[in-house]
Amino acid sequence: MNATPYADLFRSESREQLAAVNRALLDLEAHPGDLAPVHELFRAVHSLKGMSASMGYTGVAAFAHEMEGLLERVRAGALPVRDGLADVLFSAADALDAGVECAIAGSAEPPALSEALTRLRALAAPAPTDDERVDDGPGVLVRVRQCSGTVFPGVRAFMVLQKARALGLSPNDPQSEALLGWAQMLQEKYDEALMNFQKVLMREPANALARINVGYICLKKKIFGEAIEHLSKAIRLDNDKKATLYAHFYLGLVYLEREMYEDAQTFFRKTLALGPNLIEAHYELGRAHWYNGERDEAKQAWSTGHATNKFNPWGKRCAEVLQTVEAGGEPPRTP
Amino acid sequence: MPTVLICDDAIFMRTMVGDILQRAGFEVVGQAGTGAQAVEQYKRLRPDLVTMDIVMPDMGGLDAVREIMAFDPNAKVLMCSAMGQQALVVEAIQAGAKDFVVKPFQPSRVLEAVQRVLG
Repeated sequence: MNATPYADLFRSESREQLAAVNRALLDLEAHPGDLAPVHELFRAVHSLKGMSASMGYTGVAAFAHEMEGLLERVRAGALPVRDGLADVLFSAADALDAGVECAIAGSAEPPALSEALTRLRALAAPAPTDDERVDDGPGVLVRVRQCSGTVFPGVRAFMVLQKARALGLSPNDPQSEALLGWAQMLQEKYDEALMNFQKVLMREPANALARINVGYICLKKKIFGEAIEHLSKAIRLDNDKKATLYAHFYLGLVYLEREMYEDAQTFFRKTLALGPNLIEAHYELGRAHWYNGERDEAKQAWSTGHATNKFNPWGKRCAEVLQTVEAGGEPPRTP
Repeated sequence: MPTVLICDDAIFMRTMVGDILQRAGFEVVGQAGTGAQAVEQYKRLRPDLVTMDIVMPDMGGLDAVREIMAFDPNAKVLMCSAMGQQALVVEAIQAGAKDFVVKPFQPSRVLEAVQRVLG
């Protein structure tokens, strides 16, 4: 939206928030064991982030986001209030102040911003990596992934039903109902599919696969709140590695759809950590970077996707989208 | 004319959201800068819609949603979040919020979400 009418309001309120940042820092320095100043710092920096983003001051907003991330870790007890933290935060606050002033004046970002960013990142210990991999387990899971553009999706759905019959599953067996729901999902009969998955969940509330499918249907029906609720619950259940993997992937899709690109990236990266062969996640990670203005990272994600499996349909799509953007085009808005 | 209570600790954000909603025909009946003010004003004004920031002083948006929903299970609360807050958004929805929008606000996104919330 046009932010010009709000420039004066931004100017006065950003100064108030910066003053709150400085007050909280002085408080933290005087009482290093007290978390209240950290909470206040977080709140003020968070407000500055939202306001700057609304004005289109992306450099300041990104810096505030990094600062907020560090403060969040201090709040959570993951990063101790130790020697050097206050110094780094003071220099970050100064840089934020300078960044806001430059943004208001319409001048280039001050060098202090990138210098302070380097210090912030150096202080934050690297996040632990999760190299857990998905192994095939026992059971009757029939994996049918419908790629965008797949011909005869109904035929494929029929094949799933045939497979279910071949497995001899009884009609009221939750696994059978789940398969039926899956087949209906592939045919885009979302309401019928939802009914079958809900039947499964009534009998087996901890059935994470049924839950992620409900989450996926909610995503398709654009009921994002419910989608997040089901997918997050599947992640918390964490009783089925494949369900956990797809819960992360679908959550990435929800956030991509809602244009929360950094959150989408986080979930696609986690998806790839859990299941490196899910090439579709490389493709979507690339889109999440591209729409966030990170074009080099987007190309890197698509290159990696193609290199991981160039024969996979999504590996091929990674190559196609790379060609498109190299020729000056845009990646498709829909998957 | 539907009524709305706007809750955010930044006057700047309240003004922006208020302008979007007023242009769409809403009447802004109240503004709150803390969670506690949000709860107090909800009880007094009973608006058709509440927009709720998550990070606020005194009482945060999550606790405010819980208190509002306990007071009125039919309350229509739309969360306003910033990037990097997915866990809090999930908690808010579990607490009874109906949907969320992300800063920076795009008027079309805000109005789509409002329509979904008001059904």
